[in-house]
Order: sequence, then C-alpha cells, then structure tokens
Amino acid sequence: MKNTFRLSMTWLHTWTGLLLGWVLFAIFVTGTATYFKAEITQWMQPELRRGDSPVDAAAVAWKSLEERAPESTRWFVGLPDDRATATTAFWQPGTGGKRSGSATFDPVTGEVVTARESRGAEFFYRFHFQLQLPHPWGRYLAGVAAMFMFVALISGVITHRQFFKEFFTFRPGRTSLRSFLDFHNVTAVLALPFYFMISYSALVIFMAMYMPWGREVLTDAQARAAGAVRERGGQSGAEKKAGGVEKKPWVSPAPVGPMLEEVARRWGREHPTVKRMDVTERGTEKMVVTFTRAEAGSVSITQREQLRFNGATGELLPEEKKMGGVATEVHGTLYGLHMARFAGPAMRWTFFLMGLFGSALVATGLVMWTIKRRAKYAKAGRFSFGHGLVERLNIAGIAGLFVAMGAIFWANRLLPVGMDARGDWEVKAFLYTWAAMLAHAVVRPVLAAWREQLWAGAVLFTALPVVDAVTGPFLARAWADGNAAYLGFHVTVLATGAMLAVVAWKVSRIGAGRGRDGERKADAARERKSRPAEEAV
Amino acid sequence: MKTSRWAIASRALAAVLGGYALAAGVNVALALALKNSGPREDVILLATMPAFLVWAGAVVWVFAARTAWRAWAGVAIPSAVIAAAVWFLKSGGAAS
Repeated sequence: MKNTFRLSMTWLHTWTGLLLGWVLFAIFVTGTATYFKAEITQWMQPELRRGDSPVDAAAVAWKSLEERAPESTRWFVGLPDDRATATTAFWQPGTGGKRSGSATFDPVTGEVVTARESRGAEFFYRFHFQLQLPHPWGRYLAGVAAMFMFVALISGVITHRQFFKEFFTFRPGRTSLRSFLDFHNVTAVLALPFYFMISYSALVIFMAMYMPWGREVLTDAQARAAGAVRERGGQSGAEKKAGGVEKKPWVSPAPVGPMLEEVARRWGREHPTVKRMDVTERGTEKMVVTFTRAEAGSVSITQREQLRFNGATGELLPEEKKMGGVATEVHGTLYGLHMARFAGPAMRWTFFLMGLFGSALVATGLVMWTIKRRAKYAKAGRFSFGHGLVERLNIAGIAGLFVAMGAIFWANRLLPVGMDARGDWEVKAFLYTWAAMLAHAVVRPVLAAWREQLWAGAVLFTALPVVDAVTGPFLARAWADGNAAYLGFHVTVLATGAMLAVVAWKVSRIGAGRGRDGERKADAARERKSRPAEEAV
Repeated sequence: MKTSRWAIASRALAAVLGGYALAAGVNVALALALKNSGPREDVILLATMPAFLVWAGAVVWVFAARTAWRAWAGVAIPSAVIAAAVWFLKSGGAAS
C-alpha cells in the first residue's frame, strides 16, 4: 500500500480509527457506564427498596410468579444485592401459549413495583451493542465496529511503536497536536491489554451471528447422520411430532421453602448470598430449580457456584459435571472478562477507568485527525467537505453524547412520575438532545460549538445532584442510610462534570482571541520538521 | 503519497470480503477437522474463536502488501487451499 510496512499500517490505523470512530466512541462510553448498570438503575428508580435478605426476596418472588405466571414453564429471577435494589423476573410462556412476560417486584412485599417507569441503565446496556437500530442490524454494526477497533489496535501498535519508548513523556500545553498525541499515547499504553481483550471478546460474544459457518457445517453433518439412522429404521423427532402433541399431565412443583432453607444454610441469608433463581421444565418430572451464588469469585461465566434442586421432589441434585473443554473455558473467561460481572468494587472501578481511557483514546484519535489536516486546508485556503464533516461529527459525537446522557438523567428526575410511556420519553430525551447537538455543531463555528457543548455537558452533570435533591427525598435518604451505590453515582456524575468543565476551559483558552490557527500552522510545520516519523499519523 | 481511489477500493474489498471468506473457510475447516475431538459445543467454539484472528491478519496483509496483485493473492491462495481442505474433509474425511 505505502512504501514501508509501518507507513501502510499508519494509513490503516488512521482510516479504521476514523470510519467508525463515532460509533466506537458511543459504544465505549455506554459500555463503560454499563459496568455500573445496577447502580445507575438504582438511581433511576429510587423508589425501590432493597430488603435485607435475598433469600426472603426469592421466596416472595416465587409466590408472585405462581400468581402471575402459573402455567409458565421457565422462570428467570434476578435477586437484589448491594448494587441492585429490585427483584427482576422474566418468564416464558407455558403450554397454554400465553405470552412471555417480565416484571420488577418489590423484594419485601412481592408487589409489582410502583417505581417511576424507567429503562434505567438497561438503555445504555442495550445501546452499547444494538445502537437503537432494528434487530439484527445494530448487532452487526457493533460487530463491524469491534472488528475495526481490533484492526486499529494492531495497526496502531505498529504505527506508534515509539509510544512504548516514550511512555513517560507527556507535554501538556506544548502544542495542541503534541499534547493530543501524548494523551493518545498514555491512554493507549495504560490499558492496551484491556482494549485487545474488550474488542476480541466483543466479537466472540456474538460470534454465532458473525461467524456461524462452523456451527452450520457440523449441524449439517449431524443432520445427515440422523438421516442415516432414520433410514436404518429409527424414528425421527418429526415423525414423533406428527403423531400428535401429547399434552403431558401437570406435575405440581415442590414447595420452595425447604430449598431456600438449604441455600441459606450453605450461603447465608444476608448479602452477599444468592443472586439468581432460575426454574426450567416447570410442571414436569424434569423440573429443575437452580440457585446461583452472588460474587462467584470466578471470572468465567461458566464457573459459577450453583445449587440445583429437583423441582418435582425438592431434593438437592448432585453437582453438574462441567461438560466443556478448554475452548468452553476460554470462551467463558472472555465473556466474563468483557462483562466484568465477577468484579468486586475495586476491580469494577478499574474496569470503569479503563473504559474511560478507551473513550479518551478514541476521542483524541478523532480530534487529531482533524488537527493534522486543518493546517493543510488553511494553507490551501479551500474548504474541504470531508474535513468539515469530520470536525462537526467529532463535536456532536464526543461532546454531544455527554449532553445527551445528561439529558436522560435530567428527564428521569423531571418528567412526571405517573406519565404514560415514561421510559420511552427518557430515551427520546436522549435521542432528541443528541440530534439537537448535531444540528448545533453544524450551524456554529467549530471552536464555539465545542466550547458550548462541553459546557452544556459540564453543567448538566454537575447540577444533577442539585436536581435530585430538589425533586425528591431520595438523596437525603441515601445519605442517611449510607447507601454507597446511590452516593457513588453522584460522585461519578460530579467527576464527569468536572472533567467536561476542564476540557471546556482548555478549549475556551484556545479560542481566546489570539490567532491560534496561524500559530497552530507554525506549530504543525515545526512538528513536521522535527519529527518526520510522525508525518503520517 | 497519493494512492488512487480504485486501488484503495480494491484492497478494501480484498480485506473485507476476501478476509471474511478466508476466516469463514478456516472456521469450517477447523470445525470439520476437530469434529471428533470433543463435545460439539466445545468444537464449535474452538473452531470459531481463531477465525477473527485470521480475518484481522488478512486485513493487515492486504494493506501491507506492496502491490494489489500480492494483496489479492495473499487472500486468494490460502482461501483456495482451505476450500480444498474443506472439500477433502467433507468427502473423504467425513467417513470417520
């Protein structure tokens, strides 16, 4: 492609980084927020109470589900812990063909909760891999973005080999390009293994969608084998079905009380104890009730500590043999690392910070692309549509995203609690605000648009605790109870607001009257003379 | 250092489609080759996880190659070899 391997990789790094950079940035920021999904949701539905004992919450949920989904064959129940308040339940239709459903229960009373309707951080979680696009296109786009990121990382390491040598050079304020490059470098080196892990595991998590061919070919082979068996006189499933569906008699489930006593005896009654209660094959001889322990202490999603009971008799089943081999373990570990559900508070904050570094990595890369090229267009005295487009998309994609996230939190506190389709309106607040930021970025001069949107974001985030205190008793109550998750949310939004304010202030200084553009051009020329190697970043 | 748009488009095609075809081929070949080496789900995972590395490697190759000719050949020749291996595994090798 270019004269040397490294220049080719520089070109590849530039374009894989740019083309889906804004999508990647949004994925990174929402994904980083998702590390605190339970805490954010708790803040967005502050009316919920946690209750003291997940074991009792499980008993309550069992009773509620017997009333609400009596014929259902599968129940999935997530129980409250020190991060999440409510009990969340999801059930699949039974033989009666009723629709599946989901509900959030109060852990103490078992009533369907009367909290304000909100999607909470579920919105960020879904957006992270579906981008509000119709299924399956959002997941495909997220997969393509993950692949771009993976390639950008590989080519970036080759491009910026000196980064690893120059890791301890950070020259703030020397010239804008230099300090951006230094910042890009620091954030890259600090969490490089995390970026490789996160992009590769993103591909692996949905690989059945992205790379189904191995599965297909083995299924074909199996189907053929089954066909051969059939020819030798075996009976296929299809023939069995054709003989009419037999409605099996309903086997009443054993009471859940003794099972929960056993769970409490082994894992304790108070937090942290049981985190999930899942019921399969309900109403048959094969019914199984599985309890999963909180903080299983293992990274892999396949290695959770569980207790399984025969749902028809109530007896404890022997531990399941793990069927999987090495590949299943690797896959489970990658999946587990990506989601970080195993992480305790310190580890979770570490992941969160690495997510923030990743967001900054993408953002600085995008901004550098425009700075690098600005001087060239200024010198030629012509307007470039492509360059202008990237400038504007950077503003709306980076600063505008924070404004939109601030808007969803404000909407959560300001929309009337009893409003119809309230959760949808919160999401609309996010999307409309983001669209408004794009329009704003197009009509305002570049530096002014950056400044205004960054300040808007800073104000929205910094003032959020005030809005919370004014609109309800929840902040005061959390303070009195010492609710760490709730207060931690406030500390995090304040820190985010402060960060946006610092960046906004820096941008304001660039725009402070002096003909900075000319200066930047001179800087760029000096940079080029002094460091020919960085020429093609 | 201008590269023509057609050259870039051609390489992008080789990287995206050619690279994916090669990765999918490796995916299928591995699945067939490892068919009897363990539980089915495990084999599928083992055959699929490396496919993305193959794809990324193909992209790097395509854009690093000196000429467009070499870029395409670097994807096409391994793809042909893999296709032959898949054909062999499906016909002769599948009798196991």
